[in-house]
Amino acid sequence: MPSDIRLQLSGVTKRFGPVMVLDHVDFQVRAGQVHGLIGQNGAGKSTLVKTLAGLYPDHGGLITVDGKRATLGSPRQSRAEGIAVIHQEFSLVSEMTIADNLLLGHEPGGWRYSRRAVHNRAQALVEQVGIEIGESLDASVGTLSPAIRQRIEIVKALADDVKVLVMDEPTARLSEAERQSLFRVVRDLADRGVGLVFISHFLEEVREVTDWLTVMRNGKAIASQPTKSLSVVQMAELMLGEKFKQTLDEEVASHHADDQQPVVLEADSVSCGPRLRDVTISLRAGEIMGVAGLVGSGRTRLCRVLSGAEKPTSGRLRLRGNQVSFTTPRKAIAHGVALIPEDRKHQGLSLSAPLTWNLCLMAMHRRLGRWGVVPRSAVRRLSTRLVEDLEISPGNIDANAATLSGGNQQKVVLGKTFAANPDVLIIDQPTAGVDIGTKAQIHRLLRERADAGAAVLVVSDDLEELYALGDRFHVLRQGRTVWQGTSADVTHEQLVQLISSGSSQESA
Amino acid sequence: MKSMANRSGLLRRFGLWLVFALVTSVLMAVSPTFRSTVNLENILEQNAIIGIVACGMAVMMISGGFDLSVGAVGATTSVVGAVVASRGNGAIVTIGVGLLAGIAVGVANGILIAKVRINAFVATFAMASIVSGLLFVATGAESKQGVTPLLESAANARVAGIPVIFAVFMGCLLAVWFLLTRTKYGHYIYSVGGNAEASHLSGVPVQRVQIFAFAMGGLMAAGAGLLLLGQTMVGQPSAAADWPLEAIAICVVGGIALTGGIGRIEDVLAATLLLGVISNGLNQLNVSPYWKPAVTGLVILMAVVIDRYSRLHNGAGRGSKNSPAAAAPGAPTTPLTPSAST
Repeated sequence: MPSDIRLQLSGVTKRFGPVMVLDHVDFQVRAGQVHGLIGQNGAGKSTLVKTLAGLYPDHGGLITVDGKRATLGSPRQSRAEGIAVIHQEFSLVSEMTIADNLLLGHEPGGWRYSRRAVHNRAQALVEQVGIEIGESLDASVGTLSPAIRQRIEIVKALADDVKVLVMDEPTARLSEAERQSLFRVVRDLADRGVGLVFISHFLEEVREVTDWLTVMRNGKAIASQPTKSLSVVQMAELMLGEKFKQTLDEEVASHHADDQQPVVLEADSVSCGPRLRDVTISLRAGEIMGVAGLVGSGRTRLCRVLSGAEKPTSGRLRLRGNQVSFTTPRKAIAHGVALIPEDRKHQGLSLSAPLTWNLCLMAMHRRLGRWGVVPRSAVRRLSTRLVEDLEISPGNIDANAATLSGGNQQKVVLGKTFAANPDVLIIDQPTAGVDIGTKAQIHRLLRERADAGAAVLVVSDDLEELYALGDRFHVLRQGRTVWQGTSADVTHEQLVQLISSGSSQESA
Repeated sequence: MKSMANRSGLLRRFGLWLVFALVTSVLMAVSPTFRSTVNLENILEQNAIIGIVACGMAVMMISGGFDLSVGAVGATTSVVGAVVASRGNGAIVTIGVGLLAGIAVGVANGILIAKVRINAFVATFAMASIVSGLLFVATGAESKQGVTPLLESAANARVAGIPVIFAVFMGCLLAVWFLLTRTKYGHYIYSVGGNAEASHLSGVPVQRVQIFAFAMGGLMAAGAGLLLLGQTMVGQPSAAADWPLEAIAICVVGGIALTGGIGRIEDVLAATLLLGVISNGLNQLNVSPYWKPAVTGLVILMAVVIDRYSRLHNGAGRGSKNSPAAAAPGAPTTPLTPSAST
């Protein structure tokens, strides 16, 4: 039989209690193939990845690597069987050096540890893999950028004789240039005969980099076919299981930058360390401002300065013409300025707390209760309303936030902010790691907020999303403003150019 | 820029030793009784036992935990040792039984924390209560007589003026240093303390490493308990109650992060000596002993503040964990390209 099948799954199942999360999944990856895996949040992709990583020893069904039955009982065993997984959250130890991280769990020598031996082995590994890390191997991982951490992860995954490499959302934190070079590495690995599984929410990207595609829905692999045979719309249809009506392009129609609208919040040449220099920006009521830039361009810093999470080192903020100084987020929220941070798990949610608690947190001191006493009935009423309005599912307001899928968690963060009824809404990466259905819904919610008179600022790595949402744009590069204007002044392509080079060649 | 970084690196490496040298010289200059040889030897002798406990605590703290039951373990082994010795057993049996008791409690702590996943505070606090409660029941709260000559001389003898007990402390320190820097298990103690999830995904046997760290802590506490028995010649059920917090204080002054993953055992030695010298110096200067806790507390706070400050300025602070997207702007971005080595 064809000997080039690297990985084969036959009838793989996994249950959490009564819930069947993987329902007899069949799946195969050939040598040299980049195999895309797509599906909505909760479709079972993450469970499949974790099964391959050896985290679910109690799965059912048969898994073979190179035709031999593989037992995936622990991460260590998975590696020994030739399967390496790059998880969505980086699995690096910040306190240790790059070399230590590269060989963690696979240090050379018996029971002894030698820093020099590890360094030499790591050096040899980097050379053998042929991927530049771009930092000294003795540097501590703690302060490195996501792109470098990503490279460390890849080299680390290739430390053994890897037959199958699984990459879960590898591009989620990368800039456009970094993404392109990651694709080159992926192709290069495929050329060497590795079987790759590539998971992504960006369908365009999946189309660009994969040869073959498996679509998951409700724990089943419902389609597996050559990527070329599908258009992005067809992929989305397969994922959602119904006619996917609203494409992102249609959203673009609703733009209306209007200079007559009053300015709500403005920053007057604010700087914040070397990351943000001399930026002037005005947010108008009823408009969505898209802030574009690469990772490290100062986007997140700007969001944090505008919302009181960080103090500017110079410059002024004005709210409806009055000078304000937000020393804490609490003050900003009291003035009606709310931030939705980029990292919902660490900065947006209290994962082990129920939805009620999460949803009402921001509203507490702005709207709910009196003299510090918050009636339980009011909390439940507000939570129930938000869960219904935002179609959060499952809709049990007493469930812990950790039990929801990524998309629904993001809706909880939105709901929490909406509950405070802010006049200025600042949102960093509104749809990171969110499936396409929820994405459209989040876009609609943001637009509704703007239509209701709020000033909205959006930062996103997904340029198409940003272009579809923004009435106005502000482009940052290395902490400085390089361009600003309305959506009528710029095309999507020009925006891409502005971000990467700082100028649009044919300035319209 | 580079030399700045080097200088602050050196300061971090030897800063605690500098402070120790400074405090010691000042005390030597102002107090004739402090600088007497007898007193200096006493300082080494007085701090050896808590230093050994701190060595074990350091291992547990680097692995991301800590242990409030070291005092109960110390009291238990001293009582167990006394009972075993009083029945006419030799030094080897006495020491062996005592150490095994400590390891057993340590392993129990480790299992509760690593496998049952109980928080280290709760697990070891409960374990401390259980162990010392049982000890009081078994002894009727009475101390037990009995010691072996070997333990007695290990705890009290001096060779060329150097207390043997201090040499034992140095031996423990050296063993822990070897474990932490030269063995894989020691390396894993750091990685588990730094990021247990990442270590697990990388194939590190996280649970075994955690259990091992607590077994080491129990072993060290048991050794300290036996030396205490050697010094006092009675096993006292109520002894050693202040060990856990004292040992944690030494580790904190020594720059070992309560959150795990960071710390050097050399600095535990410096911290042990520093706190010992300060406490002894206050005595020699005839300062009221009531001042001692306040001064110790101040030293702990200062050490932590300085440590945090220097970490922030080295840019390697834990605070930077919170902003993973903060790539250096303007820094040359090496593109992720496979070189042509196929």
